[in-house]
Amino acid sequence: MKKLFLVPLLITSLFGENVVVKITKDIPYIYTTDSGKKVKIERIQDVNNRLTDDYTKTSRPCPPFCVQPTHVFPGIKNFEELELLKFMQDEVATGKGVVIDARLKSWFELETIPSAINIPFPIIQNASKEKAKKIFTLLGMTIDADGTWNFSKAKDLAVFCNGVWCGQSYHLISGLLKHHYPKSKIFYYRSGFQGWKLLGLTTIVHKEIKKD
Amino acid sequence: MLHKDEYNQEEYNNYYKQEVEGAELNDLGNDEERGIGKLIIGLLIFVLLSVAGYFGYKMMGASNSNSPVDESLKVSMDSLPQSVQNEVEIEKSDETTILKEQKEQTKKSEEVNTTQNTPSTTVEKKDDPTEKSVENKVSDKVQEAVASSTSKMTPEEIAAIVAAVMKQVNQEKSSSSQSTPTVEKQDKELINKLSTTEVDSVSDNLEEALENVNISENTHIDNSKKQVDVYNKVSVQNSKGTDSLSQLSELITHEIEDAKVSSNTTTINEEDKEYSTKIKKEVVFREKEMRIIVVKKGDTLGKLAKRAYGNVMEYKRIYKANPEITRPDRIYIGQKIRIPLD
Repeated sequence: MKKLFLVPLLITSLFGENVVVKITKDIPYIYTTDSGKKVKIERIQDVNNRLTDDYTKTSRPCPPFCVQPTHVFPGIKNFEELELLKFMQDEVATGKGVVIDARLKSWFELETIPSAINIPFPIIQNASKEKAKKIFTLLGMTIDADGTWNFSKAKDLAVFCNGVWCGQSYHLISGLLKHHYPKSKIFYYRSGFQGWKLLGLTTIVHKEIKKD
Repeated sequence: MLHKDEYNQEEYNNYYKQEVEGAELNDLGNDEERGIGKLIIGLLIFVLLSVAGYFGYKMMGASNSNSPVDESLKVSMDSLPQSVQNEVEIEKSDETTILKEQKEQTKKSEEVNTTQNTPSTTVEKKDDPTEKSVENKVSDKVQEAVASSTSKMTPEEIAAIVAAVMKQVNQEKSSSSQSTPTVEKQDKELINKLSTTEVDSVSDNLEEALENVNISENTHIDNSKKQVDVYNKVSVQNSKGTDSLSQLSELITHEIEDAKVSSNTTTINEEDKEYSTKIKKEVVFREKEMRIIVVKKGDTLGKLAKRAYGNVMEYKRIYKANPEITRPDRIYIGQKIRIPLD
């Protein structure tokens, strides 16, 4: 009888994936989608790995690259990585929420967080009422019979940019609030892309910059 | 020299040409000096060889008159039939008396005993390269002795002499070859020890390894690291999804493009405008901070470093920025390499 229990264990040990660097003790990885692709979000498994790219850079001129306050606006909740991953599983997967990369397009194309869509901060900030209406409609906002904007079915938005030293999220959120997007539906991932990279989490490349 | 703001494809194309021309110019400049140097070195080698040849000739003469060969012959004599031994000894010393012969024979028998008890001494006397010549000389001596006494010897006796000599030579061979396997084993153990310590030090401390690594050295590095994806990036460059998220992304992108076209008509806050301008500068700077180049035939990290920074030794920067390169002398055509330009 004991042998019967050992068989699945043996099969798992033979064919199971050996995740050394898990996300949490109980979560080795999660799945999401990006550009129609199923993407596995996991951490880099090389325990000696170190970041080598520009996200190791410590200093950029401030302003504009100043350390952001913990709470960018009163009433806007903060996210960290685990909340963001749960958001992807619970809300992005069911269409109730969307992860927004507030950075300029080139940053987004080069590397971003899986499942994120790009709304560069100046677009909302500088958008006319009509343009904001169009974008918000795409985000689930409806227009009532009397013409008022109804955000009851609008998607929850998890907004991020480069990280603690980057104000692009702040500017996007200020634009959203300017056009009355509900505070309760906006979440700020303050650690941003640098925090994501620092944990060795999977990233998405939309366009490679290369030179032959 | 490649500057961040002056990345130039033309410079890349001309790089190899310039490098080759530079090398040729250097060669021409030093031609005379090199010629004189070569002549002096040649003369020195000639003198050394002549001296070595002279002394070598002297030594050969001495060794012929002396005798590891004779000793070997004496050893072989002992194992020969008594009648043959007598014949050989008579031929060797025509003018000696019977008493002298007896004395010599007793001396020889003593020598035989000592050499038989200590076979390693004979092995030590004979180095591998000379072993064959010694063997030949032994057989020559015996043949001479045999030839002089063939008239008095039967073919069986001649065969017995040759067999006895060959047996002794084989014994010497086997005793000398017994020492080699242990040496080989020790060497292997030493090599294994060395290689494991090198691997450990490289994997334990990458920084230290980078300091010590040399392009031309055959450094042992743990190749299992090649399996690990150190970037953990998923490319969706050519992917277009039909799911709701992809459609939403597409529609919003369309609205954004539309907003860019009509942005002139909207009023923009001055402060926000300034922020946007400064951010865009960083975007340009960032794009030039790190380049990805595709390795071409003939490329080395040193050449890439020279092209990017003007110094071959800066290859370490590129090596460090590309963790998937396990050895700086191993890059392949078509490989994408990140070049930090900061």
